[in-house]
Amino acid sequence: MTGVAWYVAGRLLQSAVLLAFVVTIGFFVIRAAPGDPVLYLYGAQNISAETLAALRQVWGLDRPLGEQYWVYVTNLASGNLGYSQINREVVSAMLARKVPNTLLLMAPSILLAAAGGVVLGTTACRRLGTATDYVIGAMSMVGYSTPPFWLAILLIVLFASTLGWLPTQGMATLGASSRGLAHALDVTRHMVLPVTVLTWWYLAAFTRLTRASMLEESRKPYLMTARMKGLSEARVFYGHALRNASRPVLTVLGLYLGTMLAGAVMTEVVFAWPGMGLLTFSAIVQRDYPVVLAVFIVSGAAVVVTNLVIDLLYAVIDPRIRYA
Amino acid sequence: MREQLAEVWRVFRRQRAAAGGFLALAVIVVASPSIVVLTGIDPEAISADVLGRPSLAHAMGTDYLGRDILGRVLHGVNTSLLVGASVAAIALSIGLVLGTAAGFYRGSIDHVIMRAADGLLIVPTFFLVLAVAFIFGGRLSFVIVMLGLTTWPQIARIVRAEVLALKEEAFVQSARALGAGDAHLMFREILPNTLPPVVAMIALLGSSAILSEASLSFLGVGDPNVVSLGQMLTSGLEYVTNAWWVPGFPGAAIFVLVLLLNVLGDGLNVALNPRLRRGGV
Amino acid sequence: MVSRRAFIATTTAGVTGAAVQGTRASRLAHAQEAKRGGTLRLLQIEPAIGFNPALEGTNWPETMRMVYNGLTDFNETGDLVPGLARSWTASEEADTFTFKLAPGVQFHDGQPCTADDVRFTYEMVADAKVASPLNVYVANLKSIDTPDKSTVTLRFNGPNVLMMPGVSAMGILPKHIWAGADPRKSQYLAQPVGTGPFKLKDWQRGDHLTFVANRDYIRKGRPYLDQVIFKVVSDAATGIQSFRNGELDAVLSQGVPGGLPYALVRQIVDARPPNIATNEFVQAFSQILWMNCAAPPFDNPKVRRAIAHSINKELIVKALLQGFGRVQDSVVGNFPSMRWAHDPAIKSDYNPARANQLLDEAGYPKKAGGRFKITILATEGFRVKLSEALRAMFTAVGIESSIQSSTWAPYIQRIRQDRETAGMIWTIFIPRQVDPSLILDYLSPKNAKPGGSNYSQWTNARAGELIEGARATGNQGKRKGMYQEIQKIVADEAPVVPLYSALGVDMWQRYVEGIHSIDSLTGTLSTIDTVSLNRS
Repeated sequence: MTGVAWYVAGRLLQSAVLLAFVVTIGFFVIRAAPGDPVLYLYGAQNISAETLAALRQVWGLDRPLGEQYWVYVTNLASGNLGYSQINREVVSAMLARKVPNTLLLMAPSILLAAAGGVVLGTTACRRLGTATDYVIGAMSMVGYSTPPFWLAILLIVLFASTLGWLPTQGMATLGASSRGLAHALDVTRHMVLPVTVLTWWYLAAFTRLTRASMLEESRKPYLMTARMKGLSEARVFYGHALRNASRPVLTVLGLYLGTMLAGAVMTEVVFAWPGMGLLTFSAIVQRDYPVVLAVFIVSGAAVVVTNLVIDLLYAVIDPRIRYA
Repeated sequence: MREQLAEVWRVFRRQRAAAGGFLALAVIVVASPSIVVLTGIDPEAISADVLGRPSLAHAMGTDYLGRDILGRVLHGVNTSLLVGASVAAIALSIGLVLGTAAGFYRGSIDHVIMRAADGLLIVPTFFLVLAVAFIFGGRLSFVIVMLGLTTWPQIARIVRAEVLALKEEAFVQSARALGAGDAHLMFREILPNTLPPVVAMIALLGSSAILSEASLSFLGVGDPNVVSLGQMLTSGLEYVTNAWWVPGFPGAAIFVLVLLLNVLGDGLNVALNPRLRRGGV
Repeated sequence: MVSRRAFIATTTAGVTGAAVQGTRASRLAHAQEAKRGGTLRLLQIEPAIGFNPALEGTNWPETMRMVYNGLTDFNETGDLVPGLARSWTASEEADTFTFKLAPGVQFHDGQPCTADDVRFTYEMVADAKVASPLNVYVANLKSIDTPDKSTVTLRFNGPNVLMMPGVSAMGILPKHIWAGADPRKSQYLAQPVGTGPFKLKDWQRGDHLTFVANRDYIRKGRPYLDQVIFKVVSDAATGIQSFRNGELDAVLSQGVPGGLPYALVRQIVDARPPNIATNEFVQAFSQILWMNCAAPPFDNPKVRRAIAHSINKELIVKALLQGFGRVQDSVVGNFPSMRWAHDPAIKSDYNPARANQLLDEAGYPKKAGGRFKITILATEGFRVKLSEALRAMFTAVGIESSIQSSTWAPYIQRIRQDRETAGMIWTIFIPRQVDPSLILDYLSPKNAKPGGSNYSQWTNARAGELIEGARATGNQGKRKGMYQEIQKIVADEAPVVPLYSALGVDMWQRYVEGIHSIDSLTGTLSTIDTVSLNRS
């Protein structure tokens, strides 16, 4: 067991270093930018230079960068993500409100994409070379190449503006009830288009990946052995090959989590969905440093943690990895 | 070597979709810059014919400043091709060198390089590029460098894996026995043989770079001095219901470019990756 | 329209009365017919700081009108009418204003609104430590006296022509809530207590604000609505699409983030859908083009005039604004509030030939690569499109330009603070011009230092003399003469080039009644308490 313990310790240390790296880079890059929140709020108005300076002092923006960094890090350690002057709210509270909304989009999307992708990829591989394979291949190729923002626009124009079947944007209809079944249905209606956009690319990606790794797997000699032993084709295929082929899918799941956050920015901006993506976008525009940094750190941490968990799962399952 | 290339070409040709994609892409890569240079289209010439429908005079219509959209799309395609090629070049140079070094030397060099690569894959790079570009201005050269710097790990990983496998091959051992130095071994003997899977990755890298640049432009971070398909899409967005051709054609152009590159990349992958090539179970 | 005579008017009706005269008759009729109840959903921008008019300044005064009242109010034709003050008088020299407050007005928490609250509010605006963006309107405040609970007198060192049109309708804050603490850190920024027709029930940053009717509002029977929801969106086009889909009831010009998406609005206006009403109206909102006059090449007035001649303003209004604008010829625009000072003899002249000639005379001959290179500063969105158009127009006269786009904060930092703008051109939108002195402040030599509003760093002694002189007197005749001279100097020297003024467009579903498009401090929301929903 000590082998595993060492591995775990090593990975944890790595993750911690990675996180520290993310925080530091984020802090200095964002702070080094021209323009600050004070100017964002008052820059176009008839306000004196002295007052601008006084405001900067009140917000702690005039102290040396190193000192600001230290204060930030120590706060972070105690779970304090800071206070947003521009939005007048504690950052962790802001995130706590928005993160669930983004998860509401991401969770169904990644589940649909992964499940659908495995099913489609396996089917394509099973019926290699047939019309089914080509159709699935073509569809996944198209899906993989579609720019998400373009897709979002097309969907909005088609389903919302022209056909009027679905709402154009937002998470819930204004003025409607905010609890119970009616609310849940309302939110679901609003979710359809953004989830479609998010799922589209990932479904294609998972399909391609599953097909490729199933193909690779199905040519391995041990399957020949299984067939010669008399196992049915279906058993060979779904029982053995699929299990092994799903490993790269899991690995990629961790990676895609990171990219999906990026996709969420675009989708949320186009659909005005009140989640982390939209928050990040507005925070960058407003120079809301604490929020931008917090989002950066939280999403970085989420990806690091997810990858860590996946890696640890592998370490437990597959002894070969521990000694790599 | 020649025999290998011939074999590759044969397999590739059999992938009809990929071959078709390659042809289409080749046509675009050659035609688009040529048309622009030879005809001297000015993408910035404004006119009073604002939001004109597609017609004989303007095959793709005119935009909100009366500019010919076809000319602008051609310029935009050139920009995208430039972005794709440059990002791929940067990622390739860094990735090849670092990947080879990591695979060849192993040990601490390998460790450091791979941690850096892992780090870059995990850090929310899109956010970083978005924030930096937004804050420091979205000059095209800047965006290209940043995209190149965040995508080299994908190349490095593949190269490293290949180098690890090739290091133990007979031809490397014999070259070493003949007294070849490290550098010679790495770059003359091993590297050329790592290229096949890398080449496929390049196409995919290129397409994702084009998509990233378009996304950044879409979010308002692009370079307004360069004609960019993403920026055309963003600026044209508000006309989507009454002058669909203003965002429609640029969006379709991005889609087509990315699709062709992906098809090409897929075809190359099949042709060059020996493990996938063996047909039949 | 704000008439000069209005601020010497006294009325008998006041806030609580119901005397029926002229327009009041039609309002009463509407009041009797209007359906009560319902929720109005509007597209809006949310406040940057919060519900304190002194701190928000010119960012958001319309929405303050929901929860606050000012001494005066604007009616449906944009004239000043009694608000919290039932009558007022002004001295001949416009340096003393006395307001008599209506009795019995209460804040939402039941406390009475008195002259002390009025005094407290205006002192906050004038307080240098608070640094209110509105303090320019009360710049020469001498004293505020409150001889009794319902009388307030503001005295100024010299004429203050901005007082009535500029800040008399500004929301009055309750002293007992805001006194003694730093207003910028107050929790009441998000939980306002005012005298207004609505109370703020809920505010979700970045998403929406919910207001509920104040059933103890001083104007009996109002507001007609039960609830108003402001929907905040980051993108105007999607917001307007929501409106078309029926998810929103109205879209008011001043509430659209980033400005109106003109093509979309043009489509809606031209289509004349049966269920939507639209209204275009004049606004004193000017888009002005600036140049750095302190460094080459724009330190040469011939070059600046050449720039003015090279811009096709008509094309900009037609193409970019889709016709929702008017070319502006003189820096003092032809707006209802400033018509008396506007010089109609000054006209724009789109003349590339003349521009080329001037540039040659100025010593910048045409050569390969352009006569000289400049940079056009822009912020993403509409301004980039405007910059693209300008760039094409400059190229036509041999000036090469590149566009540098950033977000708002670094844009204004560079222009206002750093002043590293040599060889650069940029545009700034000046809203709410109620008096010529407001726009000309931007050209006054005394504001040419870093951090000041004279972005072009133009220091013309004679112009400066006239600008300050016109501020120092209340006599309209004298001021008119000075403004005429200033406009000729500005047209000649061209430190700035006024491009166009934007028309406002309000849109609402037909079942919404009582919306009046008003170009004033509190805008179309001035009459929010008489808006009703007539849905069957």
